[in-house]
Amino acid sequence: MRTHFKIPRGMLDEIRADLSRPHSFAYERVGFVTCKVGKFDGEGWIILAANYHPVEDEDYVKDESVGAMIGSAAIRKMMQRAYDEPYSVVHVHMHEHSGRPSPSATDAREMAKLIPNFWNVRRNFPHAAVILSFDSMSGTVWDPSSKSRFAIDDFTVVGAPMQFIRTEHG
Amino acid sequence: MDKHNRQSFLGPNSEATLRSSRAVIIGLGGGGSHIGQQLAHVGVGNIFLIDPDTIDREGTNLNRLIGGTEKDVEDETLKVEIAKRLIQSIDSRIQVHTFDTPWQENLQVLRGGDVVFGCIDGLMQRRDIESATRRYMIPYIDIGMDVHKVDSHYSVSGQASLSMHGQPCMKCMGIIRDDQLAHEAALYGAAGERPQVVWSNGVLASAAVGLFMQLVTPWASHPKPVTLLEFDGNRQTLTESRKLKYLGQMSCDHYAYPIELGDPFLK
Repeated sequence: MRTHFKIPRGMLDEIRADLSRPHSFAYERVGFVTCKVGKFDGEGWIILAANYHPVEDEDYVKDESVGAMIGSAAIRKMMQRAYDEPYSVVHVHMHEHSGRPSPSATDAREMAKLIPNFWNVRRNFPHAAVILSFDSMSGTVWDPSSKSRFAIDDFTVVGAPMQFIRTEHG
Repeated sequence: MDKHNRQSFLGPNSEATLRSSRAVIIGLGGGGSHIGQQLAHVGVGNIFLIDPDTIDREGTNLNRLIGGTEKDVEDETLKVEIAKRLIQSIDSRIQVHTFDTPWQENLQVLRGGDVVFGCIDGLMQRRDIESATRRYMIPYIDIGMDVHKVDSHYSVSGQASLSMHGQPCMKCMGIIRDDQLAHEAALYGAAGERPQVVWSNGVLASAAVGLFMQLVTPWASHPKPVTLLEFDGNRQTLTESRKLKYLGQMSCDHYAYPIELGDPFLK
C-alpha cells in the first residue's frame, strides 16, 4: 500500500511555530490536521492537509509519564470536525532535531490507542500520526480496509520550492 | 566525470531529487516533445507521457516535433513512443511510462505526479487539467502559443505559467477567459488547428522546464509559487507579466478551498 501525505508550506510553517511554543506544564505541544483524501489505484491513499487545529492550552492533562497528554475534550472536538465534514484526521507533534524523526515507544503506543477512534466518525477514511522535525517528517497511517497501520511512504511540502521526502522501496 | 557535473550548482542532493521525481507531460506535440527531451537531459528519473495522437500522415508535425522522423510519418508512430525513444536515447535509466489515451482516462497517472506539464491547445481541457491537479495539490505548468494575423503581418505570442493549490489560477491570470471558453464550447470543444513553429515552442518549453527546476531543486533564491511569463515572438522577449504584481495579493476565488480537494465522492 502506498500513502502520500501532502501539506502546503505555509501550513507546515504555522504548525512548527505553534508546536514550538512552551506550555505551562506539558513538555511539548501536539495538534491535529484535518485532511481531504484521494485514493490511488488498487491500494493506497493521498492525504491532503486542509486545516490545522492546535490543541488548546486548557485541553492538556498533567501526566509526567509522557511529553504531552491531551484530554478527552480535545479528542471530542476533532471527532466532531470529522463528523461534520468528510475529513481524515492526522495527529502531529514535533521532535526537536533535524533529519528524519522516528517514533518513540511511547509515540507508537499512544497513537495506536488514539488514532483508530477516528473511525467511529469516519470509518472509510485513513487517519494518521505524523512526526515533524525541524526539516523533515515521518508518519504512520491507519488503513480503514485492512484495519492495519503502515508507514507513510511519501511526503510533499507543497510550495516554492517543493520538498519531497520519500521512502525508497527496494 | 558525472554527466550532471555542470549542473551541480542546483544544490546538494539535486541529482537524487531529480532522479526520484515524477513528471507528467500531457500532449507530446511541439511543446511537450521539447519538455520531454529537456527533462531527460536534466536527469528526471520518472516521466509519464500522455497523448493519444500519432504523428500526422502528411508529415506536417515534422516542422516542430522533436525526435520525429520521416520513418515515423511513414509508420504513423504514436507521439508518446517518439518521445519515449528520444528520452531513453538520452538516458536509458529513465523510467518512461506511456499512455496513448486521453488524459481524462489517466487521472490516476496525474495523481501520482509531482508536477504536471500541460502542452495542449484547447482552453477547456487546460482548465480541466488545472482543476484536476489542484485537487491533489500538484503544481501545474502550462504552455500555450498562438499566431494571429494583424493587418498585413503575423503576431507570434504565448505564455508559460505555473499555478498551484492556494495561489492564483489560470483564470485569475487571464490565460483562460469565460468568453473564450464559450466560443470553444460553441465549437463542441474543438480548439482548431493552430500555427506552430519550433523555435517559439522551444522558448516556452525551456521556460516551463526552468519553472520546474526552480520548484524541485533549491538553486533559485526566491522561487515563486505562481508565475506567468509572457512571450512576444515578434520582439523575441519573454517577460514576467505585470498582472502578477496585483494577483500576488489576491486569493483565487475560482476554486473553493478545501472543498475542492481530494476525491469528491469519498465520504
